[in-house]
Amino acid sequence: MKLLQSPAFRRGFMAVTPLWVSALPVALAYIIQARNAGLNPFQIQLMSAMVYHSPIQLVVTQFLVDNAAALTILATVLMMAVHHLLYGLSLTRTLSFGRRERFVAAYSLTDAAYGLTIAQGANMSVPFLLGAELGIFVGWNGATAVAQIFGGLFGDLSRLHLDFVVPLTFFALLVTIVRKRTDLVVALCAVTLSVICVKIGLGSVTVLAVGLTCPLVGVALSRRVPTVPQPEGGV
Amino acid sequence: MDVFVLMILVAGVVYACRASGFVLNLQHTPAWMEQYLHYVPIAVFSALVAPALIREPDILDFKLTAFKLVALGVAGVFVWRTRRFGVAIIVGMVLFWALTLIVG
Repeated sequence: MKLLQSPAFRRGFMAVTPLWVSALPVALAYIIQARNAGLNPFQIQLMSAMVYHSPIQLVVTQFLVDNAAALTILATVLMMAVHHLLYGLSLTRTLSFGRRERFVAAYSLTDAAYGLTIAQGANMSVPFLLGAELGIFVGWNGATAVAQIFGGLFGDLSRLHLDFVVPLTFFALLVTIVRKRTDLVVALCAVTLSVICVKIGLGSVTVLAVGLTCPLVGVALSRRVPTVPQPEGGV
Repeated sequence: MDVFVLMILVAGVVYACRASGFVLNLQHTPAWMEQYLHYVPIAVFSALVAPALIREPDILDFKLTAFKLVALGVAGVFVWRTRRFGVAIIVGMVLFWALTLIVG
């Protein structure tokens, strides 16, 4: 209860609301695919609450349509989700979590919640992270429910290109955390490598491959070039 | 396999990945690991932006890609100068829609 009244929690919740617009078209795609896979409305909603990861839900439902083996599905899911390990390590480096907070924060940890929290710089906090996570959870599960009930009324949303809000969000986050020349070099390396990964068909493994390798460039450069400490900012 | 069982297994794998970073105790990390983790969000966010911009069929539409780059640039400058993240997203989206409506 105390957490819900925290200003940082409310700020975290409000910070993710611009992302809600992008949830609806993805939710529409997900329910169409889930219905094709034979899932009933309860199962469709349950998957959004339990798995709570839209790309993985899309892949799993596609695998169900294709009658793929369970092991193939689980291995693919593992490859798509394993980069969250880095997020947890990165967050616990700066924030101190209580035992219960760790497990709650882990349940709804997403790219956007992590990104927005990191972008807070010196103002990052556990309540902000939990607020952002709840905001995204509400947005995704709400979008799934709305798409299930009113899906037929929206028509074709693809012409609005609502999915553009996702790269836009991560680009804005990137701008807020790039402060040094080495940060910029790592970002450019990551852009180049991610384009190569996509072109050679690595798909969902791209984020993991880039997230594991490109920070090494930053470490190598930091050892060669002594840097002046920069003041931490925040969004 | 029953869909419900599969759903539980998938949720378990996702949760294990999400929780693993919180559970591993790396309080006393070496300096290089501190530096490494500093660069993780920069690398990951870059990897989330670039592929989204080169995805087909949108990348084949030159105008659409140009509008996206302009919107990204303006939103980037806006957030860099003002640090107002939410407003920057709205500015970027509105500019993108305006360009597709007026020029496109």
